Amino acid sequence: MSTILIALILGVVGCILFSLIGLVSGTDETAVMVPFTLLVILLGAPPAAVFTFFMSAVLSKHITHAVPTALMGIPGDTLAVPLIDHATILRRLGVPHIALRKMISAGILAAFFALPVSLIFAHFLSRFAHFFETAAGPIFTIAAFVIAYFSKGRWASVIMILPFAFFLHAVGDAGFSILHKHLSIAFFLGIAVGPIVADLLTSFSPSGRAHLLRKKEREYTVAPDVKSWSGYFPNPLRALTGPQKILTFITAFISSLTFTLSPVGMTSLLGEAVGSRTRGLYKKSTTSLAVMNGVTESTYIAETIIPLVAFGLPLSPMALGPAAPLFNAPPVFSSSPMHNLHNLLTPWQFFWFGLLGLAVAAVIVYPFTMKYARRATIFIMKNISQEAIIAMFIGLASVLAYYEGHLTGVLVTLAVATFGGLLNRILGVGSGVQFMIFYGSTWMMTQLFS
Amino acid sequence: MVPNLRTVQSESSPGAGQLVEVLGDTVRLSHVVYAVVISLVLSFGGYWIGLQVFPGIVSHTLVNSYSLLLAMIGCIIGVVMNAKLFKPKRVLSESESNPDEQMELLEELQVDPAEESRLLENDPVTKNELESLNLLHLFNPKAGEPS
Repeated sequence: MSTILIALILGVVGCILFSLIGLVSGTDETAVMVPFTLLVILLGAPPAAVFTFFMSAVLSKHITHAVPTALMGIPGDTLAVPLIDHATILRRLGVPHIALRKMISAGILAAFFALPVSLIFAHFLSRFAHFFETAAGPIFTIAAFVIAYFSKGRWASVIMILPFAFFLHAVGDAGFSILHKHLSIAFFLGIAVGPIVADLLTSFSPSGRAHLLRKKEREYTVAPDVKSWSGYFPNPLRALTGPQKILTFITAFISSLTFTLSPVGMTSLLGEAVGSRTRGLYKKSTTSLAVMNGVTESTYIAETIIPLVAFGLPLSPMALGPAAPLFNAPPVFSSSPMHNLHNLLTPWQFFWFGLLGLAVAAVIVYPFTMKYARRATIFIMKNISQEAIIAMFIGLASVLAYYEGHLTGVLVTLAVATFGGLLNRILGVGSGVQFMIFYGSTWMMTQLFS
Repeated sequence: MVPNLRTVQSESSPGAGQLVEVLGDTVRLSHVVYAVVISLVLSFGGYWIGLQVFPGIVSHTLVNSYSLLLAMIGCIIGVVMNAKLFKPKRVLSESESNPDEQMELLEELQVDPAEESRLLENDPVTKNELESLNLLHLFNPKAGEPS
């Protein structure tokens, strides 16, 4: 079968899979994208097809994550959290379908814009590969401090940077001494499922359980059925106003440049920046939502493409999180010695196969979301219990950790999930901070102790 | 046609039957435990079956990957089983986006109607959008009652 055909098939598969996943709220990107991307790579798909799959997955997930966000006021995934407030305003005004339309239209525009921008930028950056390689440690460390300060934990988060870095380093060393290889998947799975593990552990503990107890089930309100749901779906270019389109492109551009900063961080930051300059309630909410969802797409794409094409090294939060298998997927891909998409694809292949992924996803997801958003949401809310979701995450993470490091891998994931999860829940040290600390930990530790 | 959205409301009982909040949603602790066990058994089961079955069929290097695929399939079967066995602990209702709700929102956010009107005077695009959504009257008292 030709590569293009395989790429097309994988693009469709990725789109459908991640559209469905995106509809289920609470599905953290790292925890779901890593397993499936890894699988596609390990099953021997041609590198170009893997890339199409990934691009399609990214676009799809960040389109459908807007659905629970707009219709119920619940974030579809970590990246949708900054969008909640404005989406809720529009929902309470009675126009959640507008919120949805603005978000996904901007998402599509930003994605298609970010692809060429990132490639051009990567081409320009590749001559600085050496600088970035050596500067990665300090960059991630500084980013960790900045994001920590702005997290819910504020100074508590900042204080925890070194202890957490030390903890990760120590666990990593223990793992290495047992397995004689470095674990990485186990670590970011641990950080990703931290909140679930922390909540579960707290519930098991009679002393900790108290504040999590609920007397009755949670009440959800779904936005009512509106005529515009069915039939008519507008051109994304028409759903946004002129200024909204321009702002989407500008913020997509900026967020592509800042490829070493966390996607959630950039989404909030640019959303705030645009929102504070926009006056008028409706205009502010619609514009902020458009810009923010656009940024969720552009950061994901830029942070994957730039390190991949320019360096072949995982030098961005995406590369060290959801996109990690594209850089390191033993035994197929590795970053040192370098044998991954960086050397296996030319920049033009990145462009065409990336475009294929985005196009396939856009063509399928956009109409699907506009038509079936409400029905899909209700179906999921009524039929898929949180227990099933939690069990899925635990099962997936456990098997993957086992796959990477057998029992040691599972213990690493459990330890990191426990510590990280509790830091998250109790102190407010968010996953974004934890990932950033993880990325910078090696450098921090060598600075302090060598 | 709006489906009946109300699901059965269940009560919390002491011990493992308790309702707790995990990841922002309500779960019954005992169900979580069973669900996790099922998921682990099916995922690892799939992986283990793969490790037994594939060495004869595919090349050595692919055994782990295909086993991982079986593990994923096992996990997905687990999700379906768990979804069927353990019903959601949610109460769904349709929100009313009525005028009261809208006014409440505007008050909460301390929206200044004069300011909003002024902004809209210079912004025909937004004004049109609001008009087509029947929301203009909220922000522009001069426009009068909704149609």
